[in-house]
Amino acid sequence: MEQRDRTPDRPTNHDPGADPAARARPDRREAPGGATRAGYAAALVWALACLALYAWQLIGIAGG
Amino acid sequence: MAECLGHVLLAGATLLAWLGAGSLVLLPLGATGDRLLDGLNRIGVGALAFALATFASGWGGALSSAAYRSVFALAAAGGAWVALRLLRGARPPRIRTWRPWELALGGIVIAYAVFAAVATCAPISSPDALLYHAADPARFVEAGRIFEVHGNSSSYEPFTVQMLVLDGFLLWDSVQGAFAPFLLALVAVAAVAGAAEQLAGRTAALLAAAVFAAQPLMLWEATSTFIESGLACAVALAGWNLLRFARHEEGAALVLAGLFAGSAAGMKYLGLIAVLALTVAAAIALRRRLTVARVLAFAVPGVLVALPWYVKNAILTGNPVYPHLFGGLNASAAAELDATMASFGHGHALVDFPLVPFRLLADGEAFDGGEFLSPLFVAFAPLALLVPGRRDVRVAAAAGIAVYVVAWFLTTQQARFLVPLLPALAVLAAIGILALAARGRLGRAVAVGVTAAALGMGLGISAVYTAQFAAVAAGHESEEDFLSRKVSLYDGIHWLNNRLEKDDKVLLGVWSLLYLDVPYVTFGTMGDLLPLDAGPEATRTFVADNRVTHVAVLADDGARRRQVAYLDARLIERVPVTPVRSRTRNERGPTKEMLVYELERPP
Repeated sequence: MEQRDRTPDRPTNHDPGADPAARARPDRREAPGGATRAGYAAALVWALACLALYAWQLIGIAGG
Repeated sequence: MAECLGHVLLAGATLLAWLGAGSLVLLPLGATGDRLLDGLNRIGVGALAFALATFASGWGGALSSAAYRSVFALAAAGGAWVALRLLRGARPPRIRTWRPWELALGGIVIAYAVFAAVATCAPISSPDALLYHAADPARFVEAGRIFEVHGNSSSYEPFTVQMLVLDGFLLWDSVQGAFAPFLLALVAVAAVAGAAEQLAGRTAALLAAAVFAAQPLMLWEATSTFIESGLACAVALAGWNLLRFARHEEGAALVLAGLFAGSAAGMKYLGLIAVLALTVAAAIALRRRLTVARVLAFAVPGVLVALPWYVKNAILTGNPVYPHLFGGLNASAAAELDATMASFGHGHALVDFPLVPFRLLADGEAFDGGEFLSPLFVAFAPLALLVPGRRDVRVAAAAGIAVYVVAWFLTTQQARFLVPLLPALAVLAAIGILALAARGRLGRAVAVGVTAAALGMGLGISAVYTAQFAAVAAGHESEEDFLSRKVSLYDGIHWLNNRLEKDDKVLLGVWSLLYLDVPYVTFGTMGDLLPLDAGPEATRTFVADNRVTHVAVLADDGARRRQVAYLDARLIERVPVTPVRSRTRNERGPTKEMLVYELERPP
């Protein structure tokens, strides 16, 4: 039953391609799917901005 | 404390009963090739079977605790046997091999499950539950049958989850009923983890489960007798079965995907939007493999499980989707319903649409609980589309999510109505977090830092939320004291229960109806039964038709007091009552007066 899951579409945990992080690792300049360094830089800023906005909201609520 | 443990044990037995019933229903369909998915499919189908059986027996006038408990015991015994078979030979997770942060993610999910169990053990105090999610099942159980609940338009929504709440009443009491949405949330978490594991491995599974479950919004949702955790469960199971079909072309998975999609439509009208989103995602993911047979295999089970609710409404009101489409309410109630729906969020103009993510993060209170939504969905889910490799599933999920968000934006912008999206968004966010973590030290630092900070802030909020229920759940606070603190205008309800007799009937505009023990009729939640502008003749006729003996209105409700003046009524008490502005944030308003009138009885 377990073997049926081991298809190329479902990498095992021992496979270096088991997760997107591992798949993305070899080429940090430009990923084959079109994700560029700029795209990841934007994602980095976006994630920080989201956290900052959320923290700002909570501080506002806590402060009444 | 012992009572709380009893509720938790019976909740476990309920999962077994659902598993047993679902295993029986799914006998002809066969298994998929995934053990966890099989188990969850059986639990989900079993819950659906129990809900539809309760619906049928309720309308047949055959609700009975004794009969239900017998069926429950048989199903739970069968479920225990099935569980042993499913677990035999299964490899337990090798926790020793987990990295510390994976242990932390698992730990935080377990902590939330404990929080949720504690909060659910407290007496029901959520306003919507007191008005209808639990109040309607309580009335049905007392009457031994299901009947049309006039005066509250929400009672015409599909009621699959409320049927499971009703089952809890039949099994024990209202608190046991409140465990049903919590159990559905647990199944949803397991489905999110399973689907993420299939897509991207164990690490993604743990992250997705934590992103989905370890946030105050889901804790609030799962512990307030709401419906959206059931919707999330249905969508997660439908989505995982669709994924299974897309990868392995197992016919059973497609049928089950349709069945769970249909079950979403049987839980709430909002589920219809979820069905639309799932259909768009499925059509994109399977576009090159669509055949008439496959479309029917998806659609027919879905239509069959959703249909009873819409047929019931068509019979009762002539409108299957009463009252949201094609009308049916009186003019003032319809206007109030529309105004209420539109009142959430920051606006419905085109320019407001791109601002929604920012406003959810920075000013979520306008979305009614948006401040409890984790920022991780917005922060990381879009990043999943940048990850290289096969993107078919991610693009299909994104398209479905886009359809849902547009519909949500155009209808009613309540944060918890986004819950059905969260399973898919959690999986995408987990993929995004891992992708960013793989982009060097800075990427890893930001991914870990943002995720840890968001989970930490959420944990703090959730601990404060849970602490409000801990004392009563542990037996250190009396139920009456707790209800006085948490239930709006509870002192008025308490007064009516103590002073009125069983042959009295009170007309009121107070909505904590679950705890009202005397016969009552309301004006209608939105004046559905007696509009605010009804004149003397209509008011007197309404009171006579309903054999009202007492009227209870708030002193500051001028419109209702004017209508009381049309009646031959004598003021018998001014009861001090305290409104609860926010149960989750423990905010109470200034004390008011509830005026109680006794009507002259006809000779």
